[in-house]
Amino acid sequence: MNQKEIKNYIGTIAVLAVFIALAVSVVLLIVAGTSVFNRLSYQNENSYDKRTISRFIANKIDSADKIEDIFVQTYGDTSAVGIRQNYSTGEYITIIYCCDGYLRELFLPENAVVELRSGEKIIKCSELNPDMNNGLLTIDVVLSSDEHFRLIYDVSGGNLK
Amino acid sequence: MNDRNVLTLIEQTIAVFILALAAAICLKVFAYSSELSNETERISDAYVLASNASESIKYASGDFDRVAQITGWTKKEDSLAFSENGLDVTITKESESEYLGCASVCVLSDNEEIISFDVMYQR
Repeated sequence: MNQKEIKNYIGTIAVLAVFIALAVSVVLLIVAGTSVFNRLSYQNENSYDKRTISRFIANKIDSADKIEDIFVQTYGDTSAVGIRQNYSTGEYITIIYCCDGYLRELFLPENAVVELRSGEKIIKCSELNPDMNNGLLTIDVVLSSDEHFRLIYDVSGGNLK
Repeated sequence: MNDRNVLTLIEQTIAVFILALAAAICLKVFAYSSELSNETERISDAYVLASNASESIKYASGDFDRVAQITGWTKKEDSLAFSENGLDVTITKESESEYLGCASVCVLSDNEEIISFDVMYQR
């Protein structure tokens, strides 16, 4: 290999090296961007789900006419928070529960057969485990991302039993 | 090195330089949005914890011993404290009259206040 060929060879290698550096940088930038975007979406969705679920349940509880109208009941394997409402046409209940990966709400006459799948979908949610103890309603929620959190509501009406 | 190679090398060096500049700007934006998202998540968690704290105080009519018994939070003299998801929640008794009481709920993250408000309860 003569001097000129060696120079050409080194030149080609240098160009290739810079090109590879460029390609690697672009790939790294895209990977970093994707990972950040993925994490942001995950965090934002979790925050949104938490706020929505906690406010939704709080609003429903606040809308109860009497504190005694709020109850926890189990339908099959599913526990639900219920709110009893009295209309001129009779007694109705609104139940809030988790079924098929969704937080659902179902409004029906008190004595009607509860068909959990017919509830209106509110937001994605894996589990909702309510527990009522002497007027303290605690609800353990598992989001679709498997994150757990607990909600506490005072439904004693200021009268501890 | 022939002239064509030199030209290509200069071209690519300029491209790498522009890309580095764009990458620096992008990374700064990524870091900022990540920080913003963490902040949103912290506020969201803080909101849920503060809400739970206030509901528990109202439920127990300001009886911190009872709240500690129900929730397992730590009672220290006239305050209650607990930590969750990297957030520190402190509930302090502010005042009490015959019928009403007031407690302040404060949520901190790395000693920085996120949420603080007063809760009124019936005694």
